[in-house]
Amino acid sequence: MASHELKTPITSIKAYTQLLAKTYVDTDNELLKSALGKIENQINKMTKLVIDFLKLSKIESGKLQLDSEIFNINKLVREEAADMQMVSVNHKILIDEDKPVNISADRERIAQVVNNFLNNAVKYSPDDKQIVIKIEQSEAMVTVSVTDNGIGIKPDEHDKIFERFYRAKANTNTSFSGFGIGLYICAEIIRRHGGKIGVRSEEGKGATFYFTLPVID
Amino acid sequence: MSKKIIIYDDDTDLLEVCSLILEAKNFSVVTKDKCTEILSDIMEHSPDVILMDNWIPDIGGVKATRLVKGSDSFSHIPVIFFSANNNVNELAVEAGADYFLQKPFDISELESIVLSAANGTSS
Repeated sequence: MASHELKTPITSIKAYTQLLAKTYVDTDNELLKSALGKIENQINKMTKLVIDFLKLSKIESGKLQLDSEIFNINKLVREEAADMQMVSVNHKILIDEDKPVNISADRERIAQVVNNFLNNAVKYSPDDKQIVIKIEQSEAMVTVSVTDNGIGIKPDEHDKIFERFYRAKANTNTSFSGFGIGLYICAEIIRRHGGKIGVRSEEGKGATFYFTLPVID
Repeated sequence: MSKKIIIYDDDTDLLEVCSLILEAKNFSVVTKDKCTEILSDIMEHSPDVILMDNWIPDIGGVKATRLVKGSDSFSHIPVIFFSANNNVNELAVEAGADYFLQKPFDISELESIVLSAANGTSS
């Protein structure tokens, strides 16, 4: 019900905005074109926010259903990296992997976690070129980590950033949008898969976000 | 000759904007904010495509689509099921619809799926 009530007005606003943008694509009125572009960007942000809040509400009400299938985590990481590489041409995303690792998990949700890590790496390292994803198996667990050389996070905030609505305090003039939901959802997903999630970072020296999950022999 | 589409949705703003988008693609558009009389609507307008919302009075999109797909005379008409529900694909299968579209959508997605349905091609 909430999904319908929240997304229906967004559907109309988005369609009208795109229709206007299409109608006035050749206009000389730069303000009109710019305003319509900005409205559409904000609608897309709002859509993502609504989807995140709906996920949050499902997690908190215990209604988040997890599927389970056996899949290759390396392949999933490569797919997510390729998708992110397409939208972030300024960064070079590298994958450091040893051998193929199979896990039993909800593929879509794990992809969501990897995507969230990559999104954050791109977002918080605007001036850096390289992001490294590492896949390592150690006995019964696999660790997937994403390292950037961005603004980093103070040690006293390492645990807090996985709390609901917590946002790290950036010691920079750049403003970063977000509501502090994404990493909380990631933490819940990984916790419910029997894994661990964490970050290693120093302020100004980049960050490595990682999660662990049990492997299948 | 233009193709005809009936759009079912209880949101009149959405009905209007979808009409504007599809009329610009030379569709003849009929809009309905209830699906109670769906078989009579089809009889009256002879649509080439139906765009069906999930939450729509009085019987809902799933039942309305089933009525169409269970009818000997109208089961050939392609139905696009569109909804804000995250499981719109499952609802479309449950209803027996031919296509599904997740709300909110880009207007290019709407145009593409309606054209595919009208021309009998896969989207």
